[in-house]
Amino acid sequence: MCTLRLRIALKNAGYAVNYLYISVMEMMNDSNTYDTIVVGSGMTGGWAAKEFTEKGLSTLVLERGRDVKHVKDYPTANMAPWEFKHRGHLTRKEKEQYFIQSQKYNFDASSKHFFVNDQEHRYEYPEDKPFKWFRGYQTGGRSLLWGRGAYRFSDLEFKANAKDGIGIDWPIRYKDIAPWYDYIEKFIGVAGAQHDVWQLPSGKHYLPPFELNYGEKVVKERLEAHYSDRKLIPNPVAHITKAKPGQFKGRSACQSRNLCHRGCPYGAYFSSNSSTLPAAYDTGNLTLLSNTLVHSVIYDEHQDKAVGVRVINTQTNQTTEYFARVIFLCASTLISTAILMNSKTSRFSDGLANSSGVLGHYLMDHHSKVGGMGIMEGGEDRIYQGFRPAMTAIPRFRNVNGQEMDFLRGYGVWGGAYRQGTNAGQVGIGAGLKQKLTQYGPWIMSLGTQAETLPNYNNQVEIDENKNDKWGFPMIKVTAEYGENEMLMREDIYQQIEEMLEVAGLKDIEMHKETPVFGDTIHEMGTARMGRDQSTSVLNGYNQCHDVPNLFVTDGSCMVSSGNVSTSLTYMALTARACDYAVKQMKKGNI
Amino acid sequence: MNRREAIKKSTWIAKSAIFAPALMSAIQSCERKLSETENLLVLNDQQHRLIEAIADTIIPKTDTPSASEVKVPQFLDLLLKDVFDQEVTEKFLTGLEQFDEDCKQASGKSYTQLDQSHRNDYLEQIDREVMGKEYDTLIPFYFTFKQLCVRTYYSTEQGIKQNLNYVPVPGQFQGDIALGAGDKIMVGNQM
Repeated sequence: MCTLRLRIALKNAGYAVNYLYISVMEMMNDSNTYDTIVVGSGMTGGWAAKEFTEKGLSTLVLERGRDVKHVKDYPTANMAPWEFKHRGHLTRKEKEQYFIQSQKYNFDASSKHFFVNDQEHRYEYPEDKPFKWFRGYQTGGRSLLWGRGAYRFSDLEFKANAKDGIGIDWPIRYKDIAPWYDYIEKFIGVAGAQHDVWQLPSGKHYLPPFELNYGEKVVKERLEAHYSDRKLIPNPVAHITKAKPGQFKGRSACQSRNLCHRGCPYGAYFSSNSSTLPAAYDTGNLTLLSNTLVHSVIYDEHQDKAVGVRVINTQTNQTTEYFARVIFLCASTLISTAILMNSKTSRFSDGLANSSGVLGHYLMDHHSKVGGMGIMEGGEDRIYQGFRPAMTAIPRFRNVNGQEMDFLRGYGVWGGAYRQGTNAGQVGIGAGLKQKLTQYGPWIMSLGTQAETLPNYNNQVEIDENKNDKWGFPMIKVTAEYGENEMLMREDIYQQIEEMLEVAGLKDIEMHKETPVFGDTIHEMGTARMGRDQSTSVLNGYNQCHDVPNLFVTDGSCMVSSGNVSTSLTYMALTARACDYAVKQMKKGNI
Repeated sequence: MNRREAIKKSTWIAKSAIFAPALMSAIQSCERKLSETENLLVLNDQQHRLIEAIADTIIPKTDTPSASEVKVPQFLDLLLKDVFDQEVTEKFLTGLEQFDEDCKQASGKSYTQLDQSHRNDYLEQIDREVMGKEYDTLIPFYFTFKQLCVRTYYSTEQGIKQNLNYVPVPGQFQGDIALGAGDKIMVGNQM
């Protein structure tokens, strides 16, 4: 390791002084000391690992779950339905063990090994404020399970809080993050359409989008003829639709199986496992420890900085300490926040880097589960080939060019058309039925939503130090509920989706609206927010703790507002940007 | 899987979790004999024979296998043991028993004792009355039974491969192509 560092130090004179410093620390405990520590190996941890290792820094990634290697550890990837004992059904036992996780659409016998066992991984919430927490503790975290929608925020989001006087202003604008969106999209591969919807910017490196099908083309034409403010586009997704040889190392194009949640043997969708971690391993600078739960960050009062982390081996319960110059928390919103809360010192009695007192507050999730569907007449002679792992999107159209509704912010509409498959509910028995069952039914168009949630101080995560889990980490308690603005918005969503289905000429329209449950959209964020003012935010515009400059948090914790689009791409872009900044600060000797 | 798949899936599960006897007739409580055959988990032989008789009338052997040839009844037995809540299993078995009681009332014989043409005639009547409708709280036993049979059939290897267009690796997605008359539904490995 030292030889490698020396080589890098010689190659890049900028590092020389800093490496000398590291080597002094190493004399104390060489094997436990690295240039950088990254907590978590998911969406953002994978990126931090890739960026740091590619810049020559020895990097320790700490993952609380088991190791999952790309392809090798996707045991169900090629299994047929009949190879699963209970096929698509969840057993009573599975529903007991995974009483939260099993409620998610992509949980089944083919993917359950990528979800946590709820009986083992407890958390708390008040009885009248349910919170659903969907988690995957393994290498790659939830990057194996995500919906793969890869959306950019625009200045509609970055300026929203300042405009409305809600929460605090984002410390960055679109121009600050745009080059990093480019950077991420180029590496992960995003299939998307070039369009002129400014509030959902498209990327210049987009691969060809997944095609619309016949039903969607009809709906698009009818909607766009009727509404001047709405466009129906293929949703941008982190899938490789077309690749030149060697363009995406070790990854190849999507085979339209739509089995993504089992892990993709083609590496066609982006996950840490398929993409960032292999790149980090290739440098020779990555050490990844599995089954290693971070208990707290070690803060040194005399040096006034974070010097390392205290970890617990989840198999042996043994405690160890690791040291580094720079520490990145990428452990997912609630966990990173809880780690800071669990890292109390005499200076930071309310949690590390929490002089502002906002740590744990302003928890957000999107809200969803309003939608409808209808049957389309015609198009009986049109079909698609394959199972598209993507949808169509109608980007936000409310309050885009000024405040026009009785609620703030807005929502997007997602959905798609498909031909009805084997219709088991139809009339008929015998040979006639068998014949009819092999034939496609009509086109059906379905629309749903994902909507913005305002930041609210009262929506929060706490830790209960009097109650530890079996590894000695305090119990996490979440208290959150949707407010008046979200509820008002849901009325409009319902009306607009119903109206759009009618405008699209669909028959037998069925609408649904559920009571939204916090966490259910799996976009928890905002509990260590960024900001310009250190008295009202935990992080600055580079995801750096105001109070502890060599400590960064780059997962969803940093979010200042939620927007309505899925946030993973933004987390990745902020992470890569923060890594770039941190390395420059290290070179300057500032951290 | 995406949003629409999730909607389809959950709708079906929600409905299938509720059973009511055929044609909404009253539930009668009956003593039941437990399985005597080692191969069966929950069903007794008579229940198994009854399920086989109904399932093979819904999906008979043609140039492709029948429901029982791909072991649909055995899979329903497994669902009763591992998947359904106790209450649902009870309702399923009561519904099954009631189905046969209704048949005896109408024909004087157990459904299993009817010859195939009478089985067809009897089931066609029930099928016409029950299927193709929507139900709110009470779902007729037959409504759920038939859907379970059909869906189970199309989760088996031969059920899929011999009836549908099984394409586990479709390759590049094509959004809008022609569908020929008689082209079969394409399925992959999704559950």
